[in-house]
Amino acid sequence: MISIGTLFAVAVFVTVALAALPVLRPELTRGRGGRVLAFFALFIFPALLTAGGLTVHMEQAKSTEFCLSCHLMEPYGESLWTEDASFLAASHFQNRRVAQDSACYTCHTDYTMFGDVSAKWRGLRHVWVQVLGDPPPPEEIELYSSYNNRECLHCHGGARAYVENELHAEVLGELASGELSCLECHGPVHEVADVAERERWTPAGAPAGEGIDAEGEGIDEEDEADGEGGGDE
Amino acid sequence: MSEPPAAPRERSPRLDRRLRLAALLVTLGLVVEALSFLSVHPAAFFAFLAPGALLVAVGVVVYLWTIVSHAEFSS
Repeated sequence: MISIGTLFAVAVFVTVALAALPVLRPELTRGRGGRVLAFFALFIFPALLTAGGLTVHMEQAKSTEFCLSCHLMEPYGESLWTEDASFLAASHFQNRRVAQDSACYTCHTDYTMFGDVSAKWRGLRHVWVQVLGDPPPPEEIELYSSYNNRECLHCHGGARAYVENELHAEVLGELASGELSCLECHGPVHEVADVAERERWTPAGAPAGEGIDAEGEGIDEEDEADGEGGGDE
Repeated sequence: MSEPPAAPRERSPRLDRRLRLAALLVTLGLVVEALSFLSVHPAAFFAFLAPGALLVAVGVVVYLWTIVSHAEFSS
């Protein structure tokens, strides 16, 4: 089966070959056929390939692998394996409340019309700081703005277990308006300062001390046990 | 007596230079874009956008500007 990446590579190769013709033999563009060729090779194909490539990169940028490829993010990835179920990120990841291959993105995007773009814009700021700035140590990294309840309620809002929860029932309005943050009660989230000392969860069937891959092999789906702070509803 | 075949129109070297420049920019940009797919990493994403997509965009603009500003190209 030919992958999209292979098709893209072939399309780029063909377009590069076509675009190279006017470089090597500009006289080709003097005839009608040459002008049509140049129009496709220098405008239509590059525009389509760049748009397609951007889409593929945007999709790849949603993967957990992508986020954790930065050395600075490694403790955050490690925090997803915390044994203590009261840790919010770990309980979501381990119980598959978020897709494991896009765990970071699921909670750290904006669920708005241009949320993908704004999330990637923030990501570019990360790269900018990493390359040209002075990045703080992992334990001192903070969100650019306080975490918005909208991202939690994108999944939990309207869920029976959420709206019928006695504690939630009293503050549904405040939670919806953002007056009261979900994180006031649900947490800790990552707490990476001491992540290396915390006990690590090992999925059933996995060798001791090893986690599972991004596909989640080895996770017990029935294991829905939550601590006080880690409950989803 | 039949008319002699029309001589090929001369084009200004400037037009050829611009087309060559546009093609060069687009080619370089596409090569950088293709190389960026070798890795799933923020730096690869960044490389795709700049210089990859930026080179392609500049090349396309140079090409379009060339064909609209040189009537001889399209006439």
